[in-house]
Amino acid sequence: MQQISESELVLMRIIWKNGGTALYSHIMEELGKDSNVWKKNTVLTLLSRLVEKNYLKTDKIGRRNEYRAVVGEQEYRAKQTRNFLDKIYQGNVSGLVSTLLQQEILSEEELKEIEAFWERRRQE
Amino acid sequence: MMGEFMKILLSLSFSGACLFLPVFWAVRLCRNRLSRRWQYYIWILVALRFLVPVTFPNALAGQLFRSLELAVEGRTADKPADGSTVDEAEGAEREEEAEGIGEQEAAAEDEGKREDAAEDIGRGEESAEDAGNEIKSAEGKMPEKEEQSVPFGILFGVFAVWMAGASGLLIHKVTVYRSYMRFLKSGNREVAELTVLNLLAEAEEALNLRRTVELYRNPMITSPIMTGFIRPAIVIPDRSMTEKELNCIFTHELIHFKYFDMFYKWLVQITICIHWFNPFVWLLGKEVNRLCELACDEKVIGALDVRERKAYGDILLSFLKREETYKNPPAYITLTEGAEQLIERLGAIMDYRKKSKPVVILATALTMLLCFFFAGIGAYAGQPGVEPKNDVDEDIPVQKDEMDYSLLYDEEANTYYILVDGATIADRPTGGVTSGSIGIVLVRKTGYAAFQFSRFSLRFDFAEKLENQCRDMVETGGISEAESELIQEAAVSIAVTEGILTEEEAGQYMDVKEIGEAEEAEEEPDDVSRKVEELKEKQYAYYQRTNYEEPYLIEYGWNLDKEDEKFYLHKEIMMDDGSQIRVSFDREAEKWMEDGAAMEAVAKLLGETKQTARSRFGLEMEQPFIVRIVYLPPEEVADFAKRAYENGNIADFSAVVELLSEEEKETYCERSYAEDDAGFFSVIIAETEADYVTAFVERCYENEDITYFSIAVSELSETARKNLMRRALKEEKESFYHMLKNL
Repeated sequence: MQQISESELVLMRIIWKNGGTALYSHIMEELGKDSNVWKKNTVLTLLSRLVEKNYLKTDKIGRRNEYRAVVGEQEYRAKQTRNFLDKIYQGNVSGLVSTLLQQEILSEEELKEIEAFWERRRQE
Repeated sequence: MMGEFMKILLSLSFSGACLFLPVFWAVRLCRNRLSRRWQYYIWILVALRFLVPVTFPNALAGQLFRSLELAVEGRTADKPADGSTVDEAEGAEREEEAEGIGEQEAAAEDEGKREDAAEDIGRGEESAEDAGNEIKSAEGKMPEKEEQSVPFGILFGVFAVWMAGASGLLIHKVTVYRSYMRFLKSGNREVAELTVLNLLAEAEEALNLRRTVELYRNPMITSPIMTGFIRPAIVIPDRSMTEKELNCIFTHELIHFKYFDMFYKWLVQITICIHWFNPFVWLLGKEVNRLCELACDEKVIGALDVRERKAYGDILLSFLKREETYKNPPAYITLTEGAEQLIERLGAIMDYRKKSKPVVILATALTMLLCFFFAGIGAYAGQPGVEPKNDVDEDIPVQKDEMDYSLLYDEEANTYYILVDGATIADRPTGGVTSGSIGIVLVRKTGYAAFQFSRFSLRFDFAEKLENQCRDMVETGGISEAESELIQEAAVSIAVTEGILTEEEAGQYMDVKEIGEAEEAEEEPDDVSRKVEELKEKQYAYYQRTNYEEPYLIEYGWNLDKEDEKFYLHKEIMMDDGSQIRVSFDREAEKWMEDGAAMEAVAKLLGETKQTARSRFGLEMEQPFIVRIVYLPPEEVADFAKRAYENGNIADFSAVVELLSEEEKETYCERSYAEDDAGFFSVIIAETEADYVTAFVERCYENEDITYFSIAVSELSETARKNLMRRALKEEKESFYHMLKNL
């Protein structure tokens, strides 16, 4: 999976949030709420880059383009996490968890919850 | 079949060359009158003439050809193997040859045998297989008279040479282009910043482009490039750029895209591959490349004011290609192509004028005329009217008046020749002037008289300069009064060709002389006097400067408008030569009017100005006007200069800069350089000593600082310039070399 830029991720989030497909007009509408200025052609360029990188597919609905996410949000997160883990912790998960705990990003309770979740999964 | 194909090819080559000449002529004639875009697109006609083997049904041409056809029948047999000769002579003897070819082609056409060129390439290969057999049989029959008078062996040889040249060239061009694209691709990174992408989007919107263009940054290039046919992309160098710079770059590159310049360039490249043996296609390629950038600049600056245009010029300069790792890939589009071309482009940017209505009509008429040529030449290749007749290739007749002279321009020598009393081009003297100048040479059968002008200075007072020089020549007996008149008349049309005068100005200049004479004879008010008034207004522009006349700093001007004069106080001042002059004073200067010492300084200054005004500023001093007087004893000059510098007052500063010590000048020079203040820098560097200038120029050269280099270099001594030029040549710093050379 190729890397995508911050701006491209913004577009992907809009599409994901809309249930995986979005019309161009919807995307522009959502971007209107953003603090940055998004020019029409800028958005089109970014969308075509996403199509090029196989994150999106376009479907024609009448004369309008609908963008459909090929990569799901979960999948994207998983891949990015994997990348991150490999790059920063050389694949060592406990290293990551201990950093999360040390920095108090992950609380004791949350860790317990995750353990409980994991136990349940194993017993099933 | 192969013979057929070669005939079509050669006839196209000939037709193309025939059309090339009138177009080349039209473009040169109207270089500064017609839009660059027109000049650029008119070459498409020539490219198509080289490529499209189609003629238009034309009754006249048909008739001509039918009558000739009969004559041809008898003559073809005697003709030598036309194909091979043309090839060997590389088109030098095209005139005669093509006559034969044209007729043969026409004959072939009439029988309906005409084939599409592309098809024939394929068939050529087939015929190659059984070429061996046919050579034998051809040898056997050779001496006989027959319809196809060319022996097959020779024909095949010629075809093979052509094919090798054409395919070799095409493969070479495509390979270079593709490897350049790969080179680019390896360094391309998508631009992700929203601000930059938005700037591009704005530029696209402004040009009403429907498609979006991809944007990359690439650390391996120094000048922006537009690439790609299917997925167009702009590639910019990897360095920080201001919004203005980016906007200019995007607009420029998008205009290339919008007008399909890439396709045009490849069309021309293909023409070159096919007609590689024809020198005219190479010239065509050169012209199209040059005009492509000029036409694009013209579009960009159409919407800009003078200040923005200057900024655009600066941006071009900043991208002046330095040492690129890749040399000359064909048909790709960059922002800048090299120093020599850039100089022309910068000139064109500053000279930009909106085209008026008559010019549009002229362009339309010329287009129609050339289109007619296009059709006419195609239908009958041997058209005698357009045969190239020039014995010297680069000499283009510019104009032939009803008077007994003709005008020739030699581009290489930058010189116009006025041929009189039956002199021919052979009588002209050899040698020329550098490209920064224009030479005008009057050529008689028995001798010649030469003038030389700097292109830049000509802009301001062309007419007067020429008149002065002519007068001097007449006095020393170099030319006769009548010849002087002739030169001046011819020079006006040269000035228009060169874009120094607009047509209206030229018209006025011609009128003045007539009006001047008429006015002497009798007073005819109304129309005539009004015209003279208008002209005077034009010539008598107000000129202002600041000067130091110990111990006063005087800001003054001259040629104050008569209308304005009445708002000010006046005083009659006696100058050194005893003449009185009426001087106007601005409010700020009024208090000095009764100060004897100050008025003495004013008188002295005006006296000096009067003597030098014409030669230095091209304007006679009349109606002087004192704007400001400041008491400034010599010991305060240094402080004053410091304040002027800090306040950014160049006029004040330049008035006293020559009084500063060498050390102080050099300090200011360093300071303005460090602070990147080109205005002050150019004032100071002109006042420093030669050794210092040389050292500074070398420093700029070593730092590759082309902007300051270009300023300082004009102050360089001749020997230093030559030395540095040799060095630049040795070190292959092309841009510096050209700048030094073109000085």
